[in-house]
Amino acid sequence: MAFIATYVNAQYNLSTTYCEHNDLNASRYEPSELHLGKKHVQIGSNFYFWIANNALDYGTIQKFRKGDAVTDQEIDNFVNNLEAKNQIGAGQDFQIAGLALRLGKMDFSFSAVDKFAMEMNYSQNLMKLAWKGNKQFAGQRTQLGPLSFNAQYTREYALGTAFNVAGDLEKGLRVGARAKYIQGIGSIYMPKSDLYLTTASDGRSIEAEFDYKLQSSGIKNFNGMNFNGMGYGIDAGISAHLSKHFEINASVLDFGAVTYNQDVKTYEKKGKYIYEGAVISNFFGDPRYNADSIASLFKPTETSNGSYTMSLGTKVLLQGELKWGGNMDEELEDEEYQGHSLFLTYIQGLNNMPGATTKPYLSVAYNYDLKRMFDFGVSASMGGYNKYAVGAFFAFNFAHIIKFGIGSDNLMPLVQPKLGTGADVSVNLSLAF
Amino acid sequence: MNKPNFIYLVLLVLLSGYGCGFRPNKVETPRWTTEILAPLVKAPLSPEEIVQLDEVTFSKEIKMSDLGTPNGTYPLIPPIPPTSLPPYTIPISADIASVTFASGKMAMTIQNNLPINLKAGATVTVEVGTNVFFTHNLPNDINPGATYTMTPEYDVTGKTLSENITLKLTNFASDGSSSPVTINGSEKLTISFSIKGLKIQNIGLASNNNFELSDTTDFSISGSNVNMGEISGKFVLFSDNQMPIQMRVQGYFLDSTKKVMDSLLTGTQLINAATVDGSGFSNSTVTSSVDIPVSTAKFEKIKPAKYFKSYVKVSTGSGAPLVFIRNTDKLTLQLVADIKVKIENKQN
Repeated sequence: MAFIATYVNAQYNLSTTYCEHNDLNASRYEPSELHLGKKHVQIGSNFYFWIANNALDYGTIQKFRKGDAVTDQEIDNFVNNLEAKNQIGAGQDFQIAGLALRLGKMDFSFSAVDKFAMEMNYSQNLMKLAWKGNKQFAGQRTQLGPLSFNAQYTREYALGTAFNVAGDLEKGLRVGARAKYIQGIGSIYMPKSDLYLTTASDGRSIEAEFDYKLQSSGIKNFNGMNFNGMGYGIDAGISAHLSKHFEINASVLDFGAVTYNQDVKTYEKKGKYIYEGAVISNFFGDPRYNADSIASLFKPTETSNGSYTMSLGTKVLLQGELKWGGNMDEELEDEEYQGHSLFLTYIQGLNNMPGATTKPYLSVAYNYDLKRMFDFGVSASMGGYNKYAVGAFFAFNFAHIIKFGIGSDNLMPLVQPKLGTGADVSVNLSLAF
Repeated sequence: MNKPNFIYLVLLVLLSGYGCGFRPNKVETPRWTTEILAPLVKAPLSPEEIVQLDEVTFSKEIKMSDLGTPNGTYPLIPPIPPTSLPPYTIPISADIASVTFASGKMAMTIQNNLPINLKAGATVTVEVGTNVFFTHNLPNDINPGATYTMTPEYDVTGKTLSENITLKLTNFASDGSSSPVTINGSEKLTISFSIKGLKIQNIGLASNNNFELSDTTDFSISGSNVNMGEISGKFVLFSDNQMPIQMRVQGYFLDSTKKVMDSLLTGTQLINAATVDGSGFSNSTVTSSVDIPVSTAKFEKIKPAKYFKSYVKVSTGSGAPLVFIRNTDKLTLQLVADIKVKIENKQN
């Protein structure tokens, strides 16, 4: 049997888990869900791209692109509706190769994945400052940070397994894990990006307090085949099949880190500066002042070599699946099968790193499986990098050998541009024998 | 001597502030209004700058008539035996009562345009009251037409000058002239003093004393592409004054005929003086502020101006016969922008 699948996803690639339950590609997000059924070998590939933010909507971006005037009110609304801390993220995963084997009652997997992800953090206060000036902050110590950018490009090789520790797929407990060896190709990491601004109530001084640090590796002479760091990671999950109609899955994903020790640059500066105006000397004669001295205060200290460790974007995924209609035995190739699945998924990022956010994410989805040949469904979500999202997904299982699908966790820009703040795409291809 | 141009500078900063903020036709940007409250420039002023004292000079001319030889033609002038000329009182400044130097070097030159020489051994003495400020013995003869320059220069550190000094020339002697000489009154011995590189320890000013500083400078903003329709608010000139002097400031924009077109400020504005103790030394820091309105109308009005005239009236306070400015006393001027800027997207 073979599968080809194509998806469109948003940030967490959930439609893969909704539409491709149990296959190799979905197990990257739910390790304990790897289960080949009657098949013994599965070869899979997946491409996934996402971009998202929590504030700027697609409708406004389109206005900019078309050259239409953006009104003051629209910008006011944008700035005022920002959260205190905001994120922009983008990423791309390309599973170059994936292989799964079923040996006895255990399933094994291997995958090689190219991963790139970036995230930028910015504050509402910073945007308020840019939009309305600093007078609104007179007499206050205002936090303008974070203003940070993190990005990481890695190639990971994962070995995984999943098996039942109790019962079966109708009622039982199944566990899975994936151990990953990670090659770090390049990264930009800002562990510190604090900035405070205090404007005196009479305007006679502006105090800036800053503490920032930027580390990079493999940037100057970027090459996708140069490895500038190494790390390890693990994904682990457990699936509780409470009945043939209800299943709960809990997974921890991307727990680990990469240490970069090649082509490392570090830029950092910490300090406090009180600005009381450009100091003019020889005021009554030939006045002079040196603006360069101000800029030099913020000039970072640059060091080369050394090493630094960058965490993966770690997150916890909890998913409940309610199933009904037809025979739930997925090993059957029932031509009359009409299955329904309702998913509820909660994801909590454990850090703000590329690919993860501590802003919680909640998704609900419905999938309809017709004759175990067609899967299609819709989803709705909120949180994470986005505010709100709606999605749809589709997969075609040709002769129970090749599976192809397409879908999205976030079609909001197409449905309602003023609410759409991100989009993503995922392509899966798999063959099963 | 430096020029009292701080008002002009304030204006320049004001205009440069406009210039920096208004280049909307360079980029396609949405229109927005932003409010800025920020310090622009800060100028700590030393006592030397305030009283415009970067050099002290004084001199005395001695003619043949002062030596008892009136105008006329003489077959010879007999030798003059060592003698003391009468003391000369020389005014140093009408505004400054005394100056004590923290450092400085005084040069002295004697230019002999008399028809007779000045013999070595003559003594030049400068006295302040009953105190000797400086004395110097002439090491060599100074022949007619020659100039003597004292080396090394005299260190005036810790020395005090007052508004008047007394110059004494003692042991003055000459070989006279053995050839016929015509005296017409243009012949003179000039003794000049110049104190440079000075730092002031303190300056004494008579209380209730006024002096004015004024300067006219070329001015042009007619070529500016600044759109003043996009700014409003004010600039605020703050002063933190530890000196016992107050200043009234004003500036005027003049047309090509130097006729006043408009003033910078509404009326002269006051920088208050620090209060003084019974000895005339300041014992406080007084903060004052002057609002400088920013408006489109004002900018349009001054656009044709060709000159800017600054005007500063300095007044000493009262409370003591003399008030003193120490070198630790500062006057700090600070210009703060409190403006609303409207930036528009302009189509070229």
